[in-house]
Amino acid sequence: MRRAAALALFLAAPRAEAHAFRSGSESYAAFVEGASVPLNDPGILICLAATGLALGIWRARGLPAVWPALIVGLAAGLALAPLAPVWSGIAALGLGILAAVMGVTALPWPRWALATLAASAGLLAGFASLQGHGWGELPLSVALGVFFGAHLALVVPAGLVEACRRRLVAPWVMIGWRVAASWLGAVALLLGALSLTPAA
Amino acid sequence: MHRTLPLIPALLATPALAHTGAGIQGGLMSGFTHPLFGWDHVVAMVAVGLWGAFLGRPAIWLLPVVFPMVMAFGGALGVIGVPLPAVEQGIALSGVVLGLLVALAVRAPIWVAALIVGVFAIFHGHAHGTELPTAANPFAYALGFVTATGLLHLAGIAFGFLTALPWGQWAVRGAGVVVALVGAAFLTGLA
Repeated sequence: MRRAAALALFLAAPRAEAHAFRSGSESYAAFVEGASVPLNDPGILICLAATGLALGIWRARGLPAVWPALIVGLAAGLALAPLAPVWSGIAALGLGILAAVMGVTALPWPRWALATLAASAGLLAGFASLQGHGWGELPLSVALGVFFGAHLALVVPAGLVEACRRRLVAPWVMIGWRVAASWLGAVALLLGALSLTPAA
Repeated sequence: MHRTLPLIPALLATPALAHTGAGIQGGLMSGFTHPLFGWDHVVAMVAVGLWGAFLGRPAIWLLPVVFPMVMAFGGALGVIGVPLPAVEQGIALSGVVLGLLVALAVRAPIWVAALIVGVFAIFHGHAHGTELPTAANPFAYALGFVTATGLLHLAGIAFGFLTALPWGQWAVRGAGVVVALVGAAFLTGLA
């Protein structure tokens, strides 16, 4: 019986296409396209990067402490994107300013505050990335790409702060990250005003 | 014949369109150079760094953290058209006040220093916001603008580190006198 099953599997096996760059190439292209959305949209990118900085500045291992909230928020944002309002992008930018202020002040924020920030950043990033598309309109690999790209935009700044916290103990290092958060918040403020103002 | 040949491409050439201020590169350069074109802006932003150096920690870092965000707030007010009275006078006055604070080595409490710097930052930001070129890429413009402002502060801080040296204090206070004079020149209409 086992021999017959093995033979059936052997005979049913399709041709191997590893590294042929044909099998699944459309899914991969869709994944890359999805990943590029949060990385190319300034509003979403600032929101996620500022949140990453805020989490890194907040405390050591700040991101792992609230990571589940980020994942839940992002998954919810992607799942409910067809219901997303048109102002999702500008809301993400506004949340980016809030995250930058939280990073700049470097206050001992309670964990629920940072968890809410991470969940909201994920939700708005998902909303703004896929806003305007209906359920089933886009392949799943696009949503997976957005999930990956959004994580990249948030995890890299948080990880850089964490690495500096561990390797460089000089006090000016963390002040430097607060200055970076301030600059990011300033860019978000100006970008928000420019986005709201119709071109002359 | 070979003399007329170069004439043809010369006559067919279209206008050069480099550095028009459009697109990402144009927006970045436009935003980056905007705070640098105007001595009243430059001296005030450098003076923030100088004064921070005189005040020592934590002001040396707090003031450059406060200034960009408050200035961007002022810039946003300018962009969306919220009026602010006596903007140019406020900018010139910022040079005079910040220059004198450095020249006299005034050691104000940190909240007073942040308040003074913050108020003047709104004037500077508002002026930049209202003068914004419409062709610029918004994200690139904002990025260039904030970076240039921050680098001016860092230049002031770097020069302010001279206060650690015996003669450096006088050099920094002398720079404060120069800042105050430039501000006064703009305030009185001489510049």
